[in-house]
Amino acid sequence: MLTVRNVTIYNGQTRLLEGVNFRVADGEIVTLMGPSGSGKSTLFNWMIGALPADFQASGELWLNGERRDTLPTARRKMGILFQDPLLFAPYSVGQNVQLALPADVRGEARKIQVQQALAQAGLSDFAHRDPETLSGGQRGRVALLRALLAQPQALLLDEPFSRLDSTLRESFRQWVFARLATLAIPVIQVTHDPQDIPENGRVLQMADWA
Amino acid sequence: MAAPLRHPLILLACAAMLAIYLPLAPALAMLLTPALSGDNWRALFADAQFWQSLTATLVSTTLAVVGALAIALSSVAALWPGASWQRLSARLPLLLAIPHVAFATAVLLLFADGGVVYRLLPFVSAPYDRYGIGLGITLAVKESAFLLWVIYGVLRSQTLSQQATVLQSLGYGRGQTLWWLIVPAIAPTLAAVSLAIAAWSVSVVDVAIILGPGNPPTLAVLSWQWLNQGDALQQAKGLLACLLLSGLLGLYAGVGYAMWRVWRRVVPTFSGVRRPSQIRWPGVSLAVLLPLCGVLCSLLLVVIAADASLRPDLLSTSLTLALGSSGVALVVSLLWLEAGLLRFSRWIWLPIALPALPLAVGQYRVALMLGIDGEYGAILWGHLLWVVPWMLLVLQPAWQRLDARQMLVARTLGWSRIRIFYRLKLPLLIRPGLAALAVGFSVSIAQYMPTLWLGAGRFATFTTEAVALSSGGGSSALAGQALWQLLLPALFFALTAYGSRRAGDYRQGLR
Repeated sequence: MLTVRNVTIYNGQTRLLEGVNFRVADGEIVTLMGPSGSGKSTLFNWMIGALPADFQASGELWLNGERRDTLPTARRKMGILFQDPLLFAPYSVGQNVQLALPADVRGEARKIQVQQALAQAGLSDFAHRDPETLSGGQRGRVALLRALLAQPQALLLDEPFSRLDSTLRESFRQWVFARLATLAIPVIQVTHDPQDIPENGRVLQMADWA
Repeated sequence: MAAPLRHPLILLACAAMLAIYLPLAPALAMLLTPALSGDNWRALFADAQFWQSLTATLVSTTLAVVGALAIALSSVAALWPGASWQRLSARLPLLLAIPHVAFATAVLLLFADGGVVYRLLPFVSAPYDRYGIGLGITLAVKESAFLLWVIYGVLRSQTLSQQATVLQSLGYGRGQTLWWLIVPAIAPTLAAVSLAIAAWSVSVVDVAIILGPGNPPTLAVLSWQWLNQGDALQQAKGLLACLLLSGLLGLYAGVGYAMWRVWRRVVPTFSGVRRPSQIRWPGVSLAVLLPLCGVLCSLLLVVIAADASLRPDLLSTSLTLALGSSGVALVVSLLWLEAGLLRFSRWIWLPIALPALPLAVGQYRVALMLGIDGEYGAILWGHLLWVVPWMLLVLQPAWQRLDARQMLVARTLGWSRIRIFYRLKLPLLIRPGLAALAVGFSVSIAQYMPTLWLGAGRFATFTTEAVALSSGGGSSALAGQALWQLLLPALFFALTAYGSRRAGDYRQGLR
C-alpha cells in the first residue's frame, strides 16, 4: 500500500499543489490526470526524492507501512519510468538491464536472467547493442525491464507512452500493463491522454489539488 | 555587397590572429634547437638543482590536478543535483574571481614564517617545503573552483539529472552515480580542464615565487632564472627545461588517458552491489569552505593592507593594459568568429593547453627580433596571446547558439553581411560580450611573465610588484598590491554585470 498524505508543493511563492491525499493498493494502477504544468511530474519528483532545487514541499509518503519521503532516492525502493527511456548511454542494452538485478543474483545467473528478460521483451539479440541504435518502443521496453528487475515496492510511470507514435503506443501500452498485472505492487501513472487509462483503473484529477 | 567583403574580412581575421599567435612558431623552433646538442642535456642533468626542481614540479602538479579533481568531484557527489549545488554555484565566484597571485599572497601572509598563523600559534613553525607541497595544495584549492564552474555548465542537462534519479531509484548511491554515470558523461570536459590545470601548474612561475621564496625552486622557476641570465649555456638549459615542461604535460595527458581506458574496463562492476549510504560530509564541507577561502583571502588582504597606499603608476599601467588588451581582443575575437576559418581553429586553444613559460619565451624572442621589447605596445601584444583564447572560450558558445535561420531570413530581406552583423548578431552578443570582456580584463591583470619580459622591467603592474615584494617587501605593501590586483577585476566584473543587467532590462522592454 502506498499512501500520500497532506502534500503541499510550492515553487517559490507560488503554491503549485495543496492537500494531496491518496492511497494506492498493491496491484492497483492509479492514473493522475491533468494538463501540462498542473504539477504531475513535480509530484512524482517529490515522491521519488528528486524535487528540483527551486521547489519546496511538505507532506508524507508511506509505502508498506514505512515512511519513505525522508529517505534518499536510493533507499525508497520505488521505480520510475520517465517520458524518455533514459537508458545509460555508456553501457550496452544488456548492461543497462544487468545494473537492475539484485546483488544476490551472482555470476552466470546474472547473464542468464538478463537474456531471459530481454527474450520476454522480444529483444533477445539486443544485449550487446548500443541503446542509441534501438527504436523508441524498444528503448521503452528496456527501461521498463530495468525498472522491474530491481524489484521495486512501487512504480511511478511519468507519461511513458507520450513520445511514441499511435501504433507503437497501443502495443507498448498493452505490453506494459500485461507485465504490471503480474506484479502485486502499487503503480501510479501520470498522463493527459485518456487512452492511457487501464480498464477499470482509478483516475485522480490534478485539478482537485490546485 | 556581401561577396566583395568576404575575402578581405577573412584575410583581416587571419592576419590579426596570426599576429597574436606568431610566437607559437619561434617558441617551438627555439625549444628544439638546443635539444640537438648532447652537451646541453648533460649540463642540464648535471645541474645541482635540476632533480630537486623536477621532483617539486611533479609533486606540485600532481597535487594540483588530483586535488582539484578530488575536491570538485566529491562536491558533485555530495550535492548534485539539489539546492545546495545551486548555492555552491552561486557562491563560487567568491573564489573564482580572486587572481592566482592575490590568492597566493594571502596564503603566504597566512602560513609563511612570521605569518598570521605562526603569530597566533608561536609554538608551531613553518615546515621546509622542498617538494612544492604547499604550491600543489594552493593550486588544487584555487583550480577546484574553476573545475566546478565548468562542471556546473555541463551538469545543467536535465537528461543527466533524470538518469541519475533512475540509477538511484534502482538502489545505487550518490558515489556509484558519480563514477558510473556523471564521470563518463562529463569526461571530455574533465579531461580538457584537467589538461589546462596541468599546463598551468607545470609552468607556473609567479605563484611559485610568491609561495616559496625560501624553498627550492620548481623546474619552471629554475628555467625562468636560467633564461634571465646572459650566459648561453644557462639560456640553453632554460630552454631545455621549457621543453621538458612541455614533455611533462604530454606525460600527464598520456597517464590520464591510460587511466581512463583502464577505468572504462573495470567500472562499473555490474555485480549489483548497492551502496546507497555515502559519507557526504567531506564534499559538503569542501563546498562550504571553498567560497569561504575566497572571502577569507579578501578579508586578510584588506586587514593587512590597511596602511598600504595606492601607487598611481601601478594603477595606470595595470588598468590601461587590461582595458586595452581586452578591448582589442574583443574586436579580434568577434572578427575571427564572423570571418575566421573556424573549421581549422583548434590551434587557438593552444595558449590555454600549453605551458605558458615556453610561449612567453617565444614572445620575447619575437619582440627582440622586431626590436619592440621594452615598448608598451609589446606588452599589450603579449597579453593578447592569453586574453584572446580565454575570451573566445566565453564568446564561442554564445556565437554557436545564434540561430542561423535568423541570418537566412535577414539575407532574404536583402541585408548585407555587415548589417546582419551589427543589427542582428551584435545585439544578441552584448551579454556574453560583456562577460568575455570581464574575463579578458582579469586574464590581462594576472599576466606576469609577458609583462616583465616584453616590458624589459620598465612597466610595473600590481602583479609584477606583488611578486617582487613577496621575496623581501613589507607585508602591508605586498598585501596592498595583491588587494588591488584582486579589486580591479572584481570592480570590472561588477561593472560588466551591471551593464549586462541593464542590457537584459532593455531587451525585456523591447518585448
